Amino acid sequence: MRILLIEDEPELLHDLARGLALKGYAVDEAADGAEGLQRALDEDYDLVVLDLNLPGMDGLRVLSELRAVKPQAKALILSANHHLETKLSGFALGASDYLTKPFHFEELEARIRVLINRQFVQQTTTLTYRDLSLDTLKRQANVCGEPLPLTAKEMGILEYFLLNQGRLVTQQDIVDHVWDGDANPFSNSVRVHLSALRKKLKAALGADPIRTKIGEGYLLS
Amino acid sequence: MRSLSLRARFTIAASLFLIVSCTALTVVAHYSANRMIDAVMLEPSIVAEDTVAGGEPAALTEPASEAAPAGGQLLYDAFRRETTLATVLIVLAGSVGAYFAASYVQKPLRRLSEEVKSRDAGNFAQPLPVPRSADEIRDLTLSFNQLLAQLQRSFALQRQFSADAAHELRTPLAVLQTKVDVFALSPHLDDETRIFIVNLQAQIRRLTDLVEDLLLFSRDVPLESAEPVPLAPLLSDVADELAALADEKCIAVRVQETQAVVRGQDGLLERVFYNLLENAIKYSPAGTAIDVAVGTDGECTTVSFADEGCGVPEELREAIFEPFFRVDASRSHLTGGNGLGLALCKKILERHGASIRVLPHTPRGSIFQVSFPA
Repeated sequence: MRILLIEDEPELLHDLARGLALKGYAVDEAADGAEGLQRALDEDYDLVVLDLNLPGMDGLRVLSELRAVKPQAKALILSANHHLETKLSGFALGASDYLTKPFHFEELEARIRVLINRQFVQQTTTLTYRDLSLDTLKRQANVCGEPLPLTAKEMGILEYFLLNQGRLVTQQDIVDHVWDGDANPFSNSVRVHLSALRKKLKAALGADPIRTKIGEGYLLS
Repeated sequence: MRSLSLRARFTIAASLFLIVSCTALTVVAHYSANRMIDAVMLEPSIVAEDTVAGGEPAALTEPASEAAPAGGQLLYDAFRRETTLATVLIVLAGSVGAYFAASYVQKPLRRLSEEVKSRDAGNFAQPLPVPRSADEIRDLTLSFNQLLAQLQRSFALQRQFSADAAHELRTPLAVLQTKVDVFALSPHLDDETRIFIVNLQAQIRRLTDLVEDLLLFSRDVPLESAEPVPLAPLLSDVADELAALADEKCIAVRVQETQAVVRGQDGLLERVFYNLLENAIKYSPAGTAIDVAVGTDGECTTVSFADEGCGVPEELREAIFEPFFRVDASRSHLTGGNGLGLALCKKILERHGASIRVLPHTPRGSIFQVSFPA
């Protein structure tokens, strides 16, 4: 799996490269936007990890120019900018994910894994987590072989968590991926369905596998 | 009419009314007076009497003349009645007419007022539509738009500053965090090193939280989005999250059922309620109870957290919401936190148009009361 890191902070660039190499990825580095774009266009990477505040060419511009030539290119934005508009611009330009700095390395690694493995994971029809398994075709969940009754929304939310294990999931992520485009739910209905799902999981597994990070989101790990 | 000022329009309207009502009143009075005079002319005795006594009807001994003053009185009464009635009717009609005419003048003012009211955190950047009239409303609208533009500029400057500060603070923290995390992946680390790494990671976490809290606190911008947030699921989730902490101290947390909904951001409100409940648990002795109650009284919705702890002395009840304030002056971190918790709650709530205060609980403890506008 080949990753291109475009980051201008030299210490961060080297440490990230080393960490990802330790985890088995083939990593290339670029310290400025223009150089990064050139490398991304010249070679085939499974993922580009992109800082926004870059010399040479701004990160969002690198992203849009890359996607103009290679619409299949996947990018994860890594930025100290936490503003909603910046995130939305990133997603509008085709970024697959957005992680804010400072971050835990293991969180970045989990997100990279999810993004790169997406096409493989989606080919398996059964998702598992410890004693829990979810058959995505039959829309059925089981714990230790015993069926676990879930509503359609709860099933969708659980599936999303299973596809994103180890990665922090926000309420907005859940809305975007589990509710269809026409529905405009209260952000709170995620909370209601999620709460019901967690109670069921807790009863079936003995403990709630989903952790809350107050004000940020949820984590299944 | 559009090119006249409000003052001119009002004056013209008022003058028109005056002209119309006075003319009408005069016409009616003339008509009535004419009729009376004609009637009087037909009564020669009255005329004769008037000529003798100088216009005043007087009592006479002749029976024929007794009818005359009575007749004159009748006619005079009739005149009085008619003109009084006409005055009343004309005044009423004029008042009703004035009421409707006033709304014509007041309409642009009301429209402006509604536009202003509709500006909230979400759309304050949109200038008000400027009417094409050449009056005071237009001037007021233009001034208001100038004010909005200035506010926008000031927010933009603030945003830029805090974005720059954020970047400068977050970047070295990110470098530090990644460096330690990646170092921890090394396979051959001895126990002492591992302990060192864990401690370092904890301090980096603490510093990161402080920086994020400070940044959140210093960003003086309105809410990014406001939606209806039902309180029941939010409070129940917060209580569940803190259930483990409460159970450790055998503290019973009771959350009242409610259908209340407030406007704001779910994530931020979650933070506020979590902070308040966590504080209540931290500062309550073991074995006590904490009550989370929600009340609505039409004017506002209140959420209160009542504990049975040591309470807050009266002179400190304002000060505890200041950044870095601690009731125990030694700033000990035994209870954890960075002293920004309540200050941040207050800031977040203010952005929601809400307020927070602390009241004494009887027989002991505190009630932290959050009030949201209706």
